[in-house]
Amino acid sequence: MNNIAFTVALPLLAAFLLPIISNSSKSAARFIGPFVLLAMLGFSLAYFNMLEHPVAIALGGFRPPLGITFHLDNLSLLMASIIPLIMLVLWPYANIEGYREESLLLLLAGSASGLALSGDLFNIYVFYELLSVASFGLAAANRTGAAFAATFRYLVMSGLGTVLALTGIGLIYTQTGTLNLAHIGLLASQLNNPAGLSAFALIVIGIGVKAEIFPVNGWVPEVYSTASPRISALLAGLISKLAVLVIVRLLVVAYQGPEALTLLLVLGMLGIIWGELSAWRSKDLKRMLSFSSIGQLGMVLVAFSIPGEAGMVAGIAMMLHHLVVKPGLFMLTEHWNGSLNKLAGAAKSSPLAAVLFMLFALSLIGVPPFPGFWAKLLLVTGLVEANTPLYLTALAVLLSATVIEAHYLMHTAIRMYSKGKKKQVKKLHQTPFTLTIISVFAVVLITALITMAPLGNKLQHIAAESSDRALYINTTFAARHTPVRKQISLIKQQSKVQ
Amino acid sequence: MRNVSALVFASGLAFLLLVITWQFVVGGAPMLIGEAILQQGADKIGSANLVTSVVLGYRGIDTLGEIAILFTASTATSLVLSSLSAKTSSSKKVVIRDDGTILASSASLFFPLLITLGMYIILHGHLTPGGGFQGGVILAAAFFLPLLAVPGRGVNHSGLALVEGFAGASFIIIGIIALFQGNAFLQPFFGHGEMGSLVSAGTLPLLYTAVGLKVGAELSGLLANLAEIGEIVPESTDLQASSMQTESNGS
Amino acid sequence: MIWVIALMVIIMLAGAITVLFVESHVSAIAATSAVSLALSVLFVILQAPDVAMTEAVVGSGLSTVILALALFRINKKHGKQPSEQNDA
Repeated sequence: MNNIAFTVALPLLAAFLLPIISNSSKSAARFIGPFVLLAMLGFSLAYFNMLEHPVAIALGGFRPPLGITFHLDNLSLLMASIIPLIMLVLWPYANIEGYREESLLLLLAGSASGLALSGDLFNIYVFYELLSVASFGLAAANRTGAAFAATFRYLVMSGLGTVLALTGIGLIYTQTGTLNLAHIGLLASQLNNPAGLSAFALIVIGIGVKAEIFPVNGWVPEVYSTASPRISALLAGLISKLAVLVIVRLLVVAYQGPEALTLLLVLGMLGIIWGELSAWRSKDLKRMLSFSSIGQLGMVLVAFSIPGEAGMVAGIAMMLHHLVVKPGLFMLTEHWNGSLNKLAGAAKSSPLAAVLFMLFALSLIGVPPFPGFWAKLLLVTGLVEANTPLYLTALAVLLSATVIEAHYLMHTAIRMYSKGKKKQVKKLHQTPFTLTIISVFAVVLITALITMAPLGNKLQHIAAESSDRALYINTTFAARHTPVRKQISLIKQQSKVQ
Repeated sequence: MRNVSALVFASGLAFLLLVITWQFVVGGAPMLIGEAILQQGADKIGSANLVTSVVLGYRGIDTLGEIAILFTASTATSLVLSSLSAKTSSSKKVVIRDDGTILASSASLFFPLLITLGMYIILHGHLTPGGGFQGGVILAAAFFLPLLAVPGRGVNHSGLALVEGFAGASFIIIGIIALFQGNAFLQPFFGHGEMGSLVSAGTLPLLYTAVGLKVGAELSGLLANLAEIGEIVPESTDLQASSMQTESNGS
Repeated sequence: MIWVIALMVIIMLAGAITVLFVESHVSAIAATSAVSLALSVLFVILQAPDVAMTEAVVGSGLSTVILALALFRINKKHGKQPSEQNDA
């Protein structure tokens, strides 16, 4: 009875019923969200544990490619488990205002796990749209004029993006006559023409609005500096990675040619240059973090543009590292925000927070023992091995971006430890447990540091599996609607017979 | 910097669209999935309207996503609007008027007709064109018409929320029941019945009813929200001006 | 049939161009509604009755109403009466 469809169905069900429950009992309604997230975590982890081969599940019981499939491999289940985990950490437990924000968060969780698992292009579009609409609501949930203005900008850009992505999906459908990712992969040769490649470009630009890709990321600084830090943490940490995941799936399955990779590489490089230079120039902590997030996402994109397994492993490592570090940094802005000049003496008023900032900053720059170093090392070796002029340019861009990154992050840290006038650092009105939440991210980072060797092996395994195009296609076409436990035993029997 | 990136973006987009129009072949698209569904869809699901068997059968989870999008949009809107109304309602008062006799009486004339039409379209979604989404919008129009005729009339929001919540939940629960029967999520059950009769195509009519009620309740709530707060008239405004406004509302 | 199609295309084009050049917002919204209505006729001709119904109901009905309501709220917030806008 264990079915992965619950990870999408349960949060949606809870979100639909939350207004009714909240009308009759407010205290009961507050338990629903965390409970559903725990259940989602349980379902994904249960699958994660018993997964030996990737499997596909046909929803609605229609054989692929006619019906919609969910593709379960290590990468998608890893993301599907991270979603409820990170949302449990960032959940507004102290929120007493009303059910609407919780409802939107649950919808965000459901659509995010749908996006991570889905193996059908149009289904991905539907979940992406759901994700966008939920994030508009959350970005405006602050209810300040600035937040409304920023959200409107975000809405317009995102709307344009979804239209472009839909056009791209429509183009792929007219070229191949199918929407199932694996089936598209089988027919990939039909997409190797200008129209097929422009379809990919349209999807990258469209989905890229959430992934903070270069030309369509103008909303990022405004939204992240006006939304509440939890929401910024969620959008920058989790949601952007899911959008990247969609692009990566499409890349692996259907676009193995050099043109698509070059597009990603160039967009990634532009993102790094623009993001890091703007972060360097910005005078406000939240804006600095938002621009640095754009730069980091550019690095992730550059990593995924390296062909083969090397790129996949570097990309996943960069992605997971940013997923842990950036939410931590954004949550720190619940402590201090505003102009960087006013940060002088901040370390004295809250020493623990300053230490945590140093930890995250060092890892983000990539200083040796920290996980960020290993992720960047993977990226650098990948770029060196790829060894074409363009990739070497990317290497130069990456290294100089790291220097810039080190400069502005260390500059901020030094300012925190410098002596300032005592009254300058305002302690913000903060929700309880902020420091606990930040420490959770720090503990994850340090645990990753300690378990670096087994973690690296696991990453290699995940990357090998998810960069295997034939495996993806075969998995989907072997899909059944039987529960996974049975399916795995069937696969075992088959392999014994052979 | 913003201008530069806007320029890059616009020129890139123009280039892409040019490539697409250059390359695009009208009418030559392969219909792999379409042909396959045309061949086996009727036998497999038993719905006389093939579009419905795609919308609720083959791509059922997409439909779930769509109704969730609508729900999300209305939740987000009410989140934003509720903060605005909290700010404005203290200084302004709601004026209830019923000065459009023709409008009011024709609204009450149309109300039952629209409800019947909406329910017909929803319930025959598996037989004739139309279905939950279209019928739901007509239902919402039926409930919005009296509000348009007599502005400032109250709307039972908790009732709407109740219908909305249970309709959405029943869609998912029907899907989960299929799961508990040992099938896949949202797999149609209850047998096919005789094609073309009202009770046929398994759970599809039930799903469409849920969709229709949810869409109807949600949109009524959304429209009422927009209109209600829109009807808060500043105290200084005289009735002359606001009646002109009602006319232009109705036209 | 070709004349019906041509007529609908002309109505759509005219509506779309009207949106660009008309000064009153209410007229612009009405023009978008006309575009949708003509499009729904085209969908019927293309043998897609389901899509046609959706386009007629949502495109020319619902979204027009929502746009109009939003416009009235904006006007009200700025202290303008919608009738002033109509004359413009």
